[in-house]
Amino acid sequence: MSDEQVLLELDARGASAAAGLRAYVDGLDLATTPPRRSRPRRGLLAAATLLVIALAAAAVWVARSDEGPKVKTVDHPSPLYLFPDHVPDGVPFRGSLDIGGSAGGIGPLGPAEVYATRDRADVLVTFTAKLGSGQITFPGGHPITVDGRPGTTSSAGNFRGVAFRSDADRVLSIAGRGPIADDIVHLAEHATTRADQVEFTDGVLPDDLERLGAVPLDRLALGTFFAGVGGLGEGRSLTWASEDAARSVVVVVQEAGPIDEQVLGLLDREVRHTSVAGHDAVVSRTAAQSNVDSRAVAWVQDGHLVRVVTRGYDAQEAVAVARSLHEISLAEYDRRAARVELPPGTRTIASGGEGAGRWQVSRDAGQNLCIDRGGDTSCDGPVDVGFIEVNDDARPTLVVGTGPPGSNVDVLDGSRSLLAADPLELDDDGLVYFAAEVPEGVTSVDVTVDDGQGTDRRTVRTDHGSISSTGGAGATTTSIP
Amino acid sequence: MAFLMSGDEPVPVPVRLERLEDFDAFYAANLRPVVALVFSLTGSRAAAEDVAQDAFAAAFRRWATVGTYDEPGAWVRRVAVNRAVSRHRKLASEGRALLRLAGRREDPAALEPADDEFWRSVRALPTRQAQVVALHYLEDRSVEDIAHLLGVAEPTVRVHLHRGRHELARKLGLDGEVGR
Repeated sequence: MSDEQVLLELDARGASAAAGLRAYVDGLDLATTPPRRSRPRRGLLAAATLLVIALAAAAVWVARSDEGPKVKTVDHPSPLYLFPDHVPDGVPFRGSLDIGGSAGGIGPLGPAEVYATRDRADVLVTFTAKLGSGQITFPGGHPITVDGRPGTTSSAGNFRGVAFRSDADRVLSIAGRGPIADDIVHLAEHATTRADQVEFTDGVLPDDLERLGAVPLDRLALGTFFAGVGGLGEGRSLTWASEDAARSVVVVVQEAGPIDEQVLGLLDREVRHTSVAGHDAVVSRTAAQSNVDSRAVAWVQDGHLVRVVTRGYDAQEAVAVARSLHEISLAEYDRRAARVELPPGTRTIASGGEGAGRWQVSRDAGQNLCIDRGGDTSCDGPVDVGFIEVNDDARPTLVVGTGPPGSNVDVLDGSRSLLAADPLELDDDGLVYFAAEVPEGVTSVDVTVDDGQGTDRRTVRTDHGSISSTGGAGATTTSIP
Repeated sequence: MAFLMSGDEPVPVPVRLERLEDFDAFYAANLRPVVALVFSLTGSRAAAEDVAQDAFAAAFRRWATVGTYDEPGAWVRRVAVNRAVSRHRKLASEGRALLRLAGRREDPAALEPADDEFWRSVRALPTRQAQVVALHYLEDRSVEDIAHLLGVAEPTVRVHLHRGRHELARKLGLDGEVGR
């Protein structure tokens, strides 16, 4: 077969595969409502480096009143910095993340309302989810109707649940444990939604059922996290993960809310209890969803919810990691958190910053230039002579670039102070790499790249949000949205 | 200038002021193609949906500007493609989407084995090659379009497309008789 024939056959395969993929996506039940809220950004967006992350902190709880939910802030405990002595072999450290302080959107899932009797014999959990249209299915569930509305009922562990479509794009879910579970369908028939909360007709709930509060759903299913929730408290996490992501270990420490300890692993399966450093801990297994099967160990310690979540390991390994955690100082935490193990062939260009502001610029084995900010890595490539401005909330915070072999590079702020003194020339591609952090208050940064045959000069205006360039091939002027 | 980025979100050039497009219509028209594009690069439905949502959320934040671009769809695709690159992001997206998808709905039939093999082979290409090849086959975009969308030079796209197609043919076993 000639080269031309091979490519013709490839094109035919490609056309078929494209049609197949489009048909597949056409059949998906996708969110019909456009995203109107900001997705997690900066600190929260940085969470995207993690396999599983809990971004919803429990520094708030919702107090019910006639006027609707109110948010009450809980006093912040002293920060707790934990680091494990033991992590399984073969999962390199991928980075740390500071969580919290963002006003990110709440995503499609509302918080879970938790009710219980004083002796905890009865537990009731309600939540709503904006899931768009389409059929609702639960593993092992049975179809039912709730006041004529389509739904499903299912059982998991000691819980019996009902989910039904309360309006066009919202699903209302109620799950109960104990005697109240027998009345779950009756309760569902008297449930309505108000904003993201589930409300019941007066007199339907048993008098001895006390409303404990509202928590992000991931507090109830410890191994399952979602990032589309506004983080209102403080926390931090550490991630180890194998290259193929089949195995990972995540340690998440967040401020705990008033009911965290009471709801640990409420929706998980195979829940058992153990002791970690003198604290009562819950060991759980989150129901497998696609190919994810997580084990979690969680407990409340010094006002913080501590979670060790593993993937690809058994519960014994998760507990071993949990028991190896010990408290260290902030300085020591930062020092250890900076020891990110880069993939083979990766060369570090520059790094700096602290805490959530940590950044690192590197070039990977695939000739991509990678920028890591607070654990959120973005790569682009292949590397070519050029210039990147890294913005954070529309303010340039990093200027990164690559000059021709042998270039002299100066990065100066408005007062002519040098920001990047040591450009790095990599021997394998000969290019000169540079990176500089733009300090707050600096209104402009001048970048000059001189390769001996010409000078490429660019100015980053932090007040106007624009780059202007003069000289050099490919000089471009553009605006930063 | 070889590339320009504003954080994760590429800075599209040129910018031409026009009447603002309606974001909802833009979302409705572009959501599925963007999900398909990210799926082709990640192989994960969860990641595809989440990355697409992220990209549209980014577009919404900047709609006053993005809505004036000649082709805001190219902008949102570039954001999505960039965000689909990172393996870590893909993993995070999968984790993030778990609860969203939990107990949600039945999946339509999976891809045909031959189609699945094709996209798996695309994903096995070097990152930029995979992006170029995906845009070429899935969206039937020209070299010029792809160059504009990815913010790279047209010759660069030609090289990636040439290498990517040949490597893809090799991975799919289509070139078994070449040179014999």
